[in-house]
Amino acid sequence: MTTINFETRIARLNACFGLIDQACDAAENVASQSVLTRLQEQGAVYAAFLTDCSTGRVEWRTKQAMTNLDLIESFCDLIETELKQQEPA
Amino acid sequence: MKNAQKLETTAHGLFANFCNNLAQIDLRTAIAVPAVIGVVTAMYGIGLEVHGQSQLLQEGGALAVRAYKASMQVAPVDSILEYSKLAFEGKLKSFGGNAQGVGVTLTYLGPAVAAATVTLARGFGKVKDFLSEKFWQANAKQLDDDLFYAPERVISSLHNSTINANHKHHGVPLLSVALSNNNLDLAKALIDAGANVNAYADRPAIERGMAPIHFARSVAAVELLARAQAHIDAPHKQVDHAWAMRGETALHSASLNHSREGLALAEALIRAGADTKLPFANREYQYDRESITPINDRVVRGGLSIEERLAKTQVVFGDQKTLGATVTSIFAGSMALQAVDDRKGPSFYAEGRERGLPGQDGDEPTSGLRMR
Repeated sequence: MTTINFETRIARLNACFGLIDQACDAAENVASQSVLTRLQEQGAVYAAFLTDCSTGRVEWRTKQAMTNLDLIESFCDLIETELKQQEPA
Repeated sequence: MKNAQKLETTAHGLFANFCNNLAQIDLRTAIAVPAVIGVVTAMYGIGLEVHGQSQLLQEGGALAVRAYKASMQVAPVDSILEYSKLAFEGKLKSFGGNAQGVGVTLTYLGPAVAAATVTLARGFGKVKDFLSEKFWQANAKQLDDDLFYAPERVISSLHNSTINANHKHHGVPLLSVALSNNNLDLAKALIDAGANVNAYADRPAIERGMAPIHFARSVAAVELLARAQAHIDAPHKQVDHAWAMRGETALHSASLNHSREGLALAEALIRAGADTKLPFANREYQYDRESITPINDRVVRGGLSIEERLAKTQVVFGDQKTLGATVTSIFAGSMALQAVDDRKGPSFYAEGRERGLPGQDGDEPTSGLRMR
């Protein structure tokens, strides 16, 4: 039976949201403000969906819902890859 | 970022797939209003064409459903997927999609957004803040009214987490707005809700660069900020307008306020630990001997030398000659002036000036303040 640790996923997505926030505030032009705003909006939608799944408001043990949960993970991968600041060498 | 284009395109693709899947999920089984309905609808105007509408209504989101239906009449589309795509591409002018549309949407969908914000899972603090900001940006007019005429509504919004304590209203932190209105109930509620007690205003021009302490209008306000460990000597950060006060602290301002209220405020600030010897950081605007002349003039015209008055009030004059004016010197001047005002009233100056009288000794300062 599939189990999902929503707590971990929520923490990860929230952290990604923080990365987008940082990019918005950064002096360097990471991406245009409109793109970053759109990412925030998408992140908010994902957050709402994760909330619904984690609280049982939406049945997540369906093909579509599972696919969406995977897409959210992909979103996090993308944000972490592209927006995470490089550690100094 | 290494590849902004890749970021945008990939994120777009992920979200389009997400919307596609979401439209196929049967929300009839949802046991309560899914947060995703409120957020999706508000963010993109993507109404969910599902039977969940009745549940939205039950939860008080009638406006959301009404707005959704209205938008569908204006821009009918064949499927939720098509609708989602149009919204995502910014082509739904009536509902979401473009910036104006999002504003309209948020205005009409307040209940849905508020519900979604409240119902978001714990751990989504940053997301909640974002949604809250979106909502209040779109409802700035409502917030204008509430802050001035119904602050209890703002307090209520703080309690149910539908407004962020650190929200900046037209660029001014809510805490500073509350302090400028001397609404201490709201200020306290904001502090209790986690407002940054040192947040600077970003705009408009007049308020930009001011910290909450600069907005304190009463002794109680100063005491409230001091209890919250605000930076009492926070410098004014304004740099670029005509009456630039860069470096000015709240005590500088209060000391220059030649009134009982100004002096009471200065006393409260000093009690709270304000530095009485802090010079202006802005050398171009420092209160040197020349700048302070108006105070000197008035004291002298009243028949008192500032040194005499200072001696009587046991104020250390500070190192005015080397550093420019310090708060002490400004404050001393104000206090001396106040003492004369209290004793003789405005006519005293004119009388002294006309007669060329020297100071009338024996005047004791009426202020009880003792400074080091």
